[in-house]
Amino acid sequence: MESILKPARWLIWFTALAMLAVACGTDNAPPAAGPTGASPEPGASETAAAPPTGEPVVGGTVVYGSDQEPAVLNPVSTEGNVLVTTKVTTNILPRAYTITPDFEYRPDLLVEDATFTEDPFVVTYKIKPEAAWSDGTPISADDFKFTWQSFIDEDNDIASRAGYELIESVEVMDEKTAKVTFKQNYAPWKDLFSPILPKHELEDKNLNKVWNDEITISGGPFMFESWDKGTQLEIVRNEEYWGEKAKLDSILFRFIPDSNTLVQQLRGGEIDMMDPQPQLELAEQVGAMEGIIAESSLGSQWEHIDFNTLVPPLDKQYVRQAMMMGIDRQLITDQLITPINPDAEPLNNVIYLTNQEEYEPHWDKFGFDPAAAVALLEENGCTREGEGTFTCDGEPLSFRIRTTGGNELRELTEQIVQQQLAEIGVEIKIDNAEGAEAFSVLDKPDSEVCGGNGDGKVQDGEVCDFDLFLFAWVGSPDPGGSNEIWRCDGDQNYTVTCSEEATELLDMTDAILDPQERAEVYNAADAALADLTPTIPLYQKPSFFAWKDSIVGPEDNPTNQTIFWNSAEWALTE
Amino acid sequence: MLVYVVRRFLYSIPVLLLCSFIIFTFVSVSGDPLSEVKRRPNVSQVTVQQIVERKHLDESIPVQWAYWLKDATTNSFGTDLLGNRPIWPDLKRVMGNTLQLVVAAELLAFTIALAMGVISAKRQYSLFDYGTTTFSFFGFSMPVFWFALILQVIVTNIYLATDVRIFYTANLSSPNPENFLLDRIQHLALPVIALSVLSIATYSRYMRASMLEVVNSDYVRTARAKGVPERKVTVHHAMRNALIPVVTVAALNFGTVLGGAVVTETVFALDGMGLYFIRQLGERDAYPVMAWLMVAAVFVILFNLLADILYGYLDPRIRYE
Repeated sequence: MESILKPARWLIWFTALAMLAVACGTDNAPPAAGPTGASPEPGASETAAAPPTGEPVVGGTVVYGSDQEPAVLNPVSTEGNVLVTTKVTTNILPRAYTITPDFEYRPDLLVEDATFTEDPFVVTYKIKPEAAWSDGTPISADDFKFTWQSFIDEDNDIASRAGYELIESVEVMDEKTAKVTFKQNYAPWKDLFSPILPKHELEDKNLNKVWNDEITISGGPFMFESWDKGTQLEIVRNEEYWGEKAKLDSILFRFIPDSNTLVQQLRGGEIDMMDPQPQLELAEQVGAMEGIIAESSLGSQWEHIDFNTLVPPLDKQYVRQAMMMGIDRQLITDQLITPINPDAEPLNNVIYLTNQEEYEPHWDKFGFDPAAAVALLEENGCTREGEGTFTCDGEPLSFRIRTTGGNELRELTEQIVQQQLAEIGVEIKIDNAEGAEAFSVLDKPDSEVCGGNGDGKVQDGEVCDFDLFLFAWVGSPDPGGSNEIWRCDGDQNYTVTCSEEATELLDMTDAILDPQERAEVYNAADAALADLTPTIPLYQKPSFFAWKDSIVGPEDNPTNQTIFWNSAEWALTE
Repeated sequence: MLVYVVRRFLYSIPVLLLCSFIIFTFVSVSGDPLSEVKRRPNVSQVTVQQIVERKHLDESIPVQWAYWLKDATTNSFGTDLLGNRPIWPDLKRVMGNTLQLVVAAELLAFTIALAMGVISAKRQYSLFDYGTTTFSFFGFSMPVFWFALILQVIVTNIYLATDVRIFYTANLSSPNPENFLLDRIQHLALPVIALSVLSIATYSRYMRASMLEVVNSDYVRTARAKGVPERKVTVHHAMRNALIPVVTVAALNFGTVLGGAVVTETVFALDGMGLYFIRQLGERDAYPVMAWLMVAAVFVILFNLLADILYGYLDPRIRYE
C-alpha cells in the first residue's frame, strides 16, 4: 500500500505547488490598469510604465514576438505584400521616403526632398552620396531605373504597380541622380520607390523566385541572417550601413500565433516586445505588468459598416442615413476602443484619418439622434406597428450583418448596433462567418462569386450575398488608395453606390500636386460621399505595442512602415 | 502477411483520391480564395487575374482538382496559391516537429497509463484506483487550451519567483542553445504534458478494464496455482493479453495525432502539422491544405495497418490472408 500511495502523494504535492505558483503570480501582480497618461497629440501613443532610466549601450539582441510569420521575404510580390513581411524588410531594404508616426514623409535615401516640375510631371531624386549596399556597391540611379522596370514587367508577380504604370521613363542623369518622367501628374509619388531593388544583385535573376527565403543584400541598418521557419528569423546589424549604424547587434523574430502565449512570454522574459492584435483583456493584462511599456496608436485601419445598396430598401439614401443616426458611434468607441486608447473618437471622414492634419469631420452631421432617425423614416412614408420594425415601400427594415467571427471587437460592435437599431425599428440579424470565409461574399456584383460574369457591368440578379458588412479598410498617409473604393466604377466599390460629384472630384486628385489644394478636393469628395452615405464609418482600430522598459527607442508607427520604422535607434540600457 | 499489407495499400489509393476530391471541392466552394488579396489597397485587377490564370481558378472544380493531382504526383504537391513557394519543404519540416512531439507524448502516456491501468486493476477499489479514476475524468473533461495556458502560467510564475527557467512556454528551441538536447526537452516538456494527459486518461481506462478481465480468467488462476511468481503472472501472462485492445487504440490514436495536435501546437507555437493546417486553412489556400490532408490520411492508413499487424503479433491466434 505504501508503495502505491507514493506516486499519489507526489501528485498531491505537485498540484499544491502548482496552485501555489499560480496564486503567487496573482498576488504579486499590481492592480490592473490600462494605458494612462496624457498624450502629446490626438492619436499619439500612450505610455503605461515609466520610461527607462539607464544609459543606452551598443550591442545586444531584442527578441520580438510576432503573431504571424512571413510566407516569403520578397516584399513586392503578391504573397509578400503584407505587413508581417514589411516588418522584416523595412530593416533591410532602402526606400526613398520614410513615413513617420505623424504621417509625414521624411527623405530617407535622398539628400533632400525630391524636386519636381509640371508639364510634363518630372521628379528628380538625388541620392545620398554615401548610400551603398552592404557589398559596397553604391545605391544609384540605376537601381531606381531597375526598380521601375521590375515593377512594370508583366512577367513579374508584383502586388501593386500603382504609380509605376504612369512613369514614362527613368533617366540616369549621373550615378546619384535619377530623373523620373511621368505620363501625367501623379500626386502620391512619394509612395514610389519604397523599397529600392538592387540592380547588380537582381538583374540576372527571376524576380518571382528570388528572396523567398532570404534577402541576399542590404541597404538598410540590418541584414538578413537566418530563418528557422516556423520558429524564428534573425536580422543582424549591417556593419557597412551608410547611415548611423544600428545600436543593437540583432533583432530576433520569434513566431508565436497565440496572443495569450505572447503575454506569458513577455511576462516571463522569453520575448522583449510584441504588437499583437489589440484586445481589451490583453491590454489590461499587459498594463498590469511591471517593467513593461505599452503604447497604443490610432492605426491606419478603420472599421466601418458597408451597405449593400443593391439590396432594397438599402438603395434608399434616407434609410441609410436613418440607420447611421440610430447608431451611437461615440458609445461604441467609448466602450470598445477607449479602454485601449483613450484618444479614440468616432471617425467622421472616409478619406482622412483623425490623426491627419487634413481631417475634416463631414460625417458628424449623422451623429446619434434616434428621434431624428425615426422622424426621417416617417417623413419618407415608412410605417410600423407600435415599436415594431419599419416597412418602407413594402420592404421591412430587416437586414443581416456580417463580419469575421471570432474578432472580439467586431462581434461586440455588432451586438451594440443590433440593440441600438432595434430602438429605431430596424431589425438586425447577425450572420458571421469565420476568417476569410466571411469575405467570400464581398466583391463586385459582376464577379463570379456574386453570380456575375466578370464583364464589368452589373445586371439584374447580380448581387453579393450580404446586406451590411462590418470590416476595415487600411488607410495610408496618401489618400490615393481610397479612390477605387469610392469612385462609381471603382475596383473596390463593394457598396455599389455612385456619387457623380465625388467621382469627378476623386478623378482630379491624382493630378493635383499642391498638397493643400488636393486635400481640399478630397474633403469636398468626402462631403459628397457623406451625403450619399454608402457606409457608416466607426472608428480607427488602435494598435497595441508593448516592450520591456530596458529597451529605449521603440515608437509605434501606425502607418505601413510598422513598429520597425526606426529600429536602428533601438538600444538596450545598462 | 505481405499480400495482406500490399492489398491494404492498394485499397487505400482510391480512398485517398476520393478524400482529396471531396476536400478540394469543400475548400474551393467555401468562398473566393482571393478575397483577402482583393481587399488590399492598390492591388489591381491585373494582379488578381494573373493568379487566377496561374492557378486555373477560372476552370471548373474537377479540372482544378486534376491540375492539383498532376502537381501533387509529379511535383511534390507543387506550390501554394499566391506565389511560387513550394509546399513540400514546409510540410516535411512540420512533420518532423510533430513526430517529435507525438512520439514523446505517446511514449510518456503509454508508459504511465500502462502502470496506472495495471495497478488500478490489481488493486481494484483502492485509494489509488479511485485516484486514477478521478484523474481520468479530469483528463477527459479538461480543455487542452486551458490546461496549456495554466501550465504556461505556472512555469512563468516559477521563473519569476526563482529566476530558474525549468521549461519554456513556446517554440521548439532557443535562439542559440548551448545544449541542444536539453534545450529541446525544455521546450517540448509543456506541450508533451498537455498532449499526453488525454492519452493517459484514455489508455489507463482501457488498460484497467482489460486487465480486470484477464486477471480473473482461468489461465491466470492456473498460472498462480502452478506457483508462478505473482510478478511474472502479471507481466507475462496477464499484461500481454490485456495489452491487445490498448495497443490497437494507441496505434489508431497515434496515426490521428500525427496529423497534428492543433490546439496544443497553436498554444505552444510548435511548428507542427496542426499549426500548419490551421494557418493554411485560415489563408484559404487549398493547395497546402490538400497536401496536409494527403499526408495525414497516409498516417491514419499506415497506423491502422500497423494496429492490425500488432494485433496479430500479440495474439498468435490471428492470421491474415
